[in-house]
Amino acid sequence: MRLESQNAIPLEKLQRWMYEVIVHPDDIESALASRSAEAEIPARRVGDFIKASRTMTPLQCVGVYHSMYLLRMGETLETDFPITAVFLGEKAFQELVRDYSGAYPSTSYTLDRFGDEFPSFLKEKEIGDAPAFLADLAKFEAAVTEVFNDTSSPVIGAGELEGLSQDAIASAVFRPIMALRLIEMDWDVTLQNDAYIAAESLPAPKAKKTFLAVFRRRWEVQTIKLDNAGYALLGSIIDGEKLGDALSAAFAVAENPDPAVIFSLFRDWMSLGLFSAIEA
Amino acid sequence: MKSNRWGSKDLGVGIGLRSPHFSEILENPPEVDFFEILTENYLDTNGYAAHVLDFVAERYPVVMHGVSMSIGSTDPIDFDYLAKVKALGEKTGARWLSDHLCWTGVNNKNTHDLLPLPYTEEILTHVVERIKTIQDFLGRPVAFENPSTYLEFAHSSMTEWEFLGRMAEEADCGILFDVNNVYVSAFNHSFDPLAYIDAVPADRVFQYHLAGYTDMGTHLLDTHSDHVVDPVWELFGHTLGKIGSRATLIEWDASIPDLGVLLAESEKARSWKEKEASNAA
Repeated sequence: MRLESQNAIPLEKLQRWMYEVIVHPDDIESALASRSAEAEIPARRVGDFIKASRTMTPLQCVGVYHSMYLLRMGETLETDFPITAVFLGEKAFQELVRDYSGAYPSTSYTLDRFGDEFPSFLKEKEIGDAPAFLADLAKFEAAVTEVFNDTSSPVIGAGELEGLSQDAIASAVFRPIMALRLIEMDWDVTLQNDAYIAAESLPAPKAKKTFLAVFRRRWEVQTIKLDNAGYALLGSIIDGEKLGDALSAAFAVAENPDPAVIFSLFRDWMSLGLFSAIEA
Repeated sequence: MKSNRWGSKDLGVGIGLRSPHFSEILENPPEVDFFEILTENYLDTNGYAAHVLDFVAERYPVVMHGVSMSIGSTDPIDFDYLAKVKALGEKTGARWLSDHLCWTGVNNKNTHDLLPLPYTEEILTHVVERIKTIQDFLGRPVAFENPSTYLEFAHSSMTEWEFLGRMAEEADCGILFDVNNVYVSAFNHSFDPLAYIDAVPADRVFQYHLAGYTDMGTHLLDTHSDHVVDPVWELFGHTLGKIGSRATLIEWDASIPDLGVLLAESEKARSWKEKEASNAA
């Protein structure tokens, strides 16, 4: 066994230091001089334990890792929240990446979880003229990602209702597919979503109470805009209520409490494949 | 040329399973010998990616390549993560599992980068113990890849290839030998790549990786974003002569090209393997 160098730094300390340096949002000099890095290893010692290369100083060597960190985190958030990124523009989005990475560093083995707190982060943070809009937009994009990755379910069609009496239908519980989310927003983010899909410029935010069902049909994520009654009906069904009770909840909030109209909503959803089972 | 000590099969030449190619793979399954998946991309998804993986696993051999075992970290081993890795390996019939000689985070925070370690006796012991624990839990050997690195620690008491070889022997684990990483690190740290290749214990090697890098002027960055360069092909030829034929994969993870371009690159790897095989005959 060869003797270890006297300059050896305990691995845990070295790793804590390197982590603090790598994730620091400012330049590499500031990262090394930061309080959190200095608490582990003083900046003046860097040359003692990191070797210079033929072309780079020790500081530049560790700077390679530092420079890649925020790029990686930014790419991850941009993948999960592409419309938010376009809406904000590159500079503002990168500032957000930097702030978010500092507030919510990744604690998972997968980057897929990194953006989990992004919608709530946007809600807390006052950004631009319409901060609540950004939170709604991110909430919508998070729902799209969740639905895209959620488990496939068997699907029943509207034909399953044939042969059932009205009483049987009213007392049945309809189980939704797994890949379905119901979201309520104060801004109509479908305007930005439609423009993004059409590769058009994103329109200005429009404040409007909006209810959406986001679901996956086969492998494609789709959305349905709902009114008050539709939102109440689908929400009650998702909560496991009998269809008759769910319809009653919808009538209570409907602007036009026409049973035929509201029941037709339900039939449409069955045709779209929003349900996976009927429990009589 | 002999296989490794576990008798793993030379699966031929494969490509990574990447989302831009999903629809083309489903519509017109390509002629490749195997697919490698990025483990973490499939641990928690049950949607389209899982559907494509099921399709692929029914038709091709699959190997799993992860980035989060963090064998060099001082954090506790994440057994919940390993349980998912194990389950995915069983589900896909993965021929083998691999990860990297690195650490990725500390204090339960993950940088999602493959960070370098000092190569010392103390750290070798640390890494070996963790690998043994991981392999016991998974119930199979794991191959660890030599990383591309951009810094070296002054207190290292052995070369990376000494560390890698001893780690493999003492932990009884495998090696995924990345030829491009040797080239990148050799450039960055001014060592002889042939010395590295010649020191790798052949009977530990499961698989080879080849990839393209980005020349940053002061250093080479392992970006997996381009064609394999000629000097790396030459090193690959040398590797085949020294270590033998193994499953070989072209890694292309950024600026991902059309599937046809990737397949053409993999055919180039096949040509090198065939040339070396005829030289050895």
